[in-house]
Amino acid sequence: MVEGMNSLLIGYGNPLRGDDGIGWRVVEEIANRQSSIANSQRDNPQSTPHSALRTPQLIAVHQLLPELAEPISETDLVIFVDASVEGEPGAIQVRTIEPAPPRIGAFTHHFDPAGVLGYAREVYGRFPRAYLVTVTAVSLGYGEGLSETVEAVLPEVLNQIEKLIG
Amino acid sequence: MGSTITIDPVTRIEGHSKITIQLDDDGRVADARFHVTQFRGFEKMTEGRPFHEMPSLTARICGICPVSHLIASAKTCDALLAVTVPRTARNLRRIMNLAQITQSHALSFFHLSSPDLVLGMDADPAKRHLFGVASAAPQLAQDGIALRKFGQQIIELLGGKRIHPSWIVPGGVSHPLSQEDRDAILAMIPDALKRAQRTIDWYKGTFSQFSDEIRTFANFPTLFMGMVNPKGDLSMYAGRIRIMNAVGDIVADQLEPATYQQWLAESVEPDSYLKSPYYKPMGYPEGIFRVGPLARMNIIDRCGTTIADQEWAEFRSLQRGAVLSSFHYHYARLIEIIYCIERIRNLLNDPDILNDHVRSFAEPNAFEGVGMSEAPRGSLLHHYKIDKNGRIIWANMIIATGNNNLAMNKGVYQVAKHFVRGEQIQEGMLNRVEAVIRTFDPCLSCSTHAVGQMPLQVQLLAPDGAILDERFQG
Repeated sequence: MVEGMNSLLIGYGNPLRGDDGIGWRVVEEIANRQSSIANSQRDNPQSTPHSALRTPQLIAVHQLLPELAEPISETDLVIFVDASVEGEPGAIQVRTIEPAPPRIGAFTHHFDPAGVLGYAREVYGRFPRAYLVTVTAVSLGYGEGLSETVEAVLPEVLNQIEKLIG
Repeated sequence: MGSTITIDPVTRIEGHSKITIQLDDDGRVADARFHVTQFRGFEKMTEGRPFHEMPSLTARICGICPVSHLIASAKTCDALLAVTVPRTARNLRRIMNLAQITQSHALSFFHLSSPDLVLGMDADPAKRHLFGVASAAPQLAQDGIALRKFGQQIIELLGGKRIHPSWIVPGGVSHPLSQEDRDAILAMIPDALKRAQRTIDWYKGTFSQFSDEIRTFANFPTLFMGMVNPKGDLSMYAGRIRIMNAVGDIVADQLEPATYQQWLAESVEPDSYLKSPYYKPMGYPEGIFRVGPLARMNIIDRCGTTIADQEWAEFRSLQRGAVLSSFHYHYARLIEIIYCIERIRNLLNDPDILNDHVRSFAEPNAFEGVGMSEAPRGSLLHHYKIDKNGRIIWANMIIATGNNNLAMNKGVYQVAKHFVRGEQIQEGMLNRVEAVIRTFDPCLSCSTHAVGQMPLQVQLLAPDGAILDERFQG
């Protein structure tokens, strides 16, 4: 990523519904890494952190709401992280997202990633490069915590995100 | 042969419901019903849990207004502990409640209702949505986002996170307010106030275009209920209940929330999971009442803050006695946003707000407790009974949206009678039947304590129950 560019990572889903909490878990993991990097820099000001994960602003939400248009419009790159029900359990997918108008008849106070990107374009006249990273869920039943399968692919999810921020 | 229209799901509200409209043999509306079709039974689920878990458990009832449940629940737990919550903690809880009301009202007005208000009830549904608002009135769209953010940021600064903060606890709050956070919130006030005033000025220049809707959107006599302080001022956190009738006479005043079973009863309808509370002394259904912004603006003697009081005086001049049209929930909501911003500023300017004594500690000293507060949608009540080990053995929650159930049903009937023609669902009719529900800003997830979002179904039925037309949205 070009130095000075801003990035934003939005993890969304319901952390009380098993693997639907993957977005929140990714935000938590990156926040922990950012905290470690900050501590390491404080203890050793000469150290140069290499992880691209040190940079993104982090947001965890249950659903994508219109007000996300504002921070999205102010960043250069946005990465959405969500669970998916398509594909083999644990499969990771990375897709480019383009802004889109709302679906007719859509419930209009929460959006999908393309919709919130489109709303940022409509309200603020700006939208960033955008990706959606999904992990196919094993279970979306009641309960906190990820399934073993999804938990096992978490490091690879972080790798993929790091490459996107690059 | 008569028929029935069903609207299922109802859109741009919180939760899942449907509307059925029954036609008579001449094709005129004979009856209309608003059914809430989701069920969760949260009260039952809490049985056996330690009472001190209730604030965080009941906050999970809703992702939109968790703070309202936190507050009502914590106040109920305060009653179980039989402690006096420190003054600073009471004021900090007040600030969080006011921030919650601001962000929830902003969601209702800007995100859910503004497409109808900006683009018109008969606008093409392909354009009647937030994108259409952003295109037609970009400043309004930006103001909505900013006011939502204002409320959410305050909740986050106080509670550490914007959804399901666990900062409000039995006996007070978990930690005091820092000077840095106080100053950060105060710095946001002027911008929020400017946006709220700009919106209400716009709205006052607009709503006269909706004279038909004002006349027919749940515009009928009912009682109005809400909380006031001892002076009769608007009170969102603590106070006692006032009930006013349609001509503006106070029917009951300074009712103690803990005695609610003496003056409030709930009926159960076979076709809805949403109960129908009514004012007990007048019986069912004559005891129909409304709660929430319209009711609060009707019952109070004043708001108690400068700009809101000016707006309130203008609002009250709309009608002698109580303002009856539910269309004016929108107007009332905007006045309350201004009130909340002013009140937050006033509370933060009290030096005592930084006091670090913010919690009282005790073991349970009572086996039963009641807590009430004003949520965005109206009066919210929690009532718990515990055993000697502090475990919940019974819980009852009377939710703001439920309090409006009878009025919402009657409102759907009034709108259907005025706008429904023939045996097919026309778009303008469909939207108006939904829009009358939207004025109440119902939160069905809360009121049935249910899971899920809210699509809407509308059915048009013949007298024999045959479905003549049906629409699904969501």
